[in-house]
Amino acid sequence: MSTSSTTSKNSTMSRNSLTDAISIVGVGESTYRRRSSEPVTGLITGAVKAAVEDAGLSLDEVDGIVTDSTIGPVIMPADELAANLGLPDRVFHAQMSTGGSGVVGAPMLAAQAIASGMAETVVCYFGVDWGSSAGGPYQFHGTDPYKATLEMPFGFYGQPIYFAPVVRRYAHQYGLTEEQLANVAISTRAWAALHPGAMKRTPLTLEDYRSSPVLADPLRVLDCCLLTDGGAAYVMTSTERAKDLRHKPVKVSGVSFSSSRVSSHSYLSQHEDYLSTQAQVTGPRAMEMAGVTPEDVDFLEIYDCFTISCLLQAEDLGFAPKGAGASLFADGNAAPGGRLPINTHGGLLSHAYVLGIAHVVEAVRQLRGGCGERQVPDAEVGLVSGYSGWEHSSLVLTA
Amino acid sequence: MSGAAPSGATQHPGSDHPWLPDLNWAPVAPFWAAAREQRLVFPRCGRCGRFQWYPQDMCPDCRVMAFEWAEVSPSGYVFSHTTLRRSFVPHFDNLLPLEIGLIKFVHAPGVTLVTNVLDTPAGGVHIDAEVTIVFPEVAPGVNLPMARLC
Ligand SMILES: [Zn+2]
Repeated sequence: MSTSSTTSKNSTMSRNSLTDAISIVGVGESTYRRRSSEPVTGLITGAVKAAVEDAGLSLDEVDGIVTDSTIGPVIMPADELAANLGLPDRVFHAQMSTGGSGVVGAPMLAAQAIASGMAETVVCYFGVDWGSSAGGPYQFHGTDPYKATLEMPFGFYGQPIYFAPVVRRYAHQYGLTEEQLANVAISTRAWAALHPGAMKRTPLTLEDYRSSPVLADPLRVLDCCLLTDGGAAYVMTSTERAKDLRHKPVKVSGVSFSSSRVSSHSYLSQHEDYLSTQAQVTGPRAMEMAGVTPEDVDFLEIYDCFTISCLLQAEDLGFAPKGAGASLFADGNAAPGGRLPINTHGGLLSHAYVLGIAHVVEAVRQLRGGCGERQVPDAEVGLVSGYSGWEHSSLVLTA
Repeated sequence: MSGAAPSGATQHPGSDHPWLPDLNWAPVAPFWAAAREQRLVFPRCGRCGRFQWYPQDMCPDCRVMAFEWAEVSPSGYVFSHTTLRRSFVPHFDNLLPLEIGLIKFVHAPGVTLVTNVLDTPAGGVHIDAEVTIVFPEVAPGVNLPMARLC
């Protein structure tokens, strides 16, 4: 799709020494369920083992581990993972941001470790048991003293409740119909229907959306991500070495992270730029590093914790003017067979809620090719958008 | 900010309100003390005048640590809102549906007060609606700032 851009890529100034320096060479996932009979630590450990095997490498060769800094290390600390896997010598261990922006931005850390020669084979892992654990994802905010004191007395608690007023404000400012929001859920489900590993595979209709219960007006259950027990991992090494491994290397061509001047305490109620995300910074930066423009991107994997958050990021990344994100989902444009496929595995909405790492895994699979019914034709450039509220990472992967 | 985290769920004898703030948590204690006196206060930078909500140690604009609690007019407007149909805070079921407003203040730019909008007819709340903040006593000694449509 983007062969015409190949020459211009090489002439862009902002390509730097880390552009294409490393590749993702292995991916692995657990099964995803609402409630798993296995402990989440077992799900993560199995996913890492599978990812290393997928790369055709030995666990003895893994010498670096990366995950996010907030959730992964609590669910399963890296030392516990290394002990399970029998890793002989970890020379590199790093953590990055929170949840989605961490596991999507992690190649930024791995690239530096690998390019400097410090480490050779770095694994990024992540997993949650938020499908089965008491409090689920809400507990993450429930332990914040500002939220407990200043928000919970008024019932303002839980991510769906945080995002409902965002939808309202967005609709007020830019206009947004029920059908436009439904299109995001319907399009994403259509992709999940083509993915054997997705948790929800029954196609959705507008009628299904309209009969979905309202949690907080106007946000419905079908606007929200799933709840999942599961884990996933991916393996990174130098692109030079990757050429000799099992799969076609998927290059880390651009990666960018940005935080706003807002802390987790104040997010989402006090965020001054209420309808924007840091994707407005990381998207252009990561594409610049990769030497591509939005026109070159063949598909997007966007952190779709809610239908509205998918629209906000798509706009901020530069794929639609602010307020016009819904146009990307109109007329099946983002759905299978569409002009710009978005969330080709079914996203957090219909595939699994593992906070972005499955988005990376899916982008790798699309760029390798061979995704069967859901394969994006001639996929050469994929952009992964990793959101964690006040922070964001963008990752440009190329075949 | 310093200070031990608030204790969280505070089921209060004599109150039906399902979740009460820890009035003694230092970073926000003056806010609740003022609410008890029917006054609305927010931290304002003593150097540049920036309002900072939620409280933090340093002013991110002028980078000094000189916040003072400043009283502001209780007149505000609805920035956004939602009607809570299902609560993730325990024991709220009897209050549902509950109108939640994000309230802003012309005279305290940068502040958003998360609160409930009282006595609202269905569909009565809309963006930009003018409100005034009142301070009902929801438990003995506990006054919560809430919005009432003007
Ligand atoms: Zn100041």
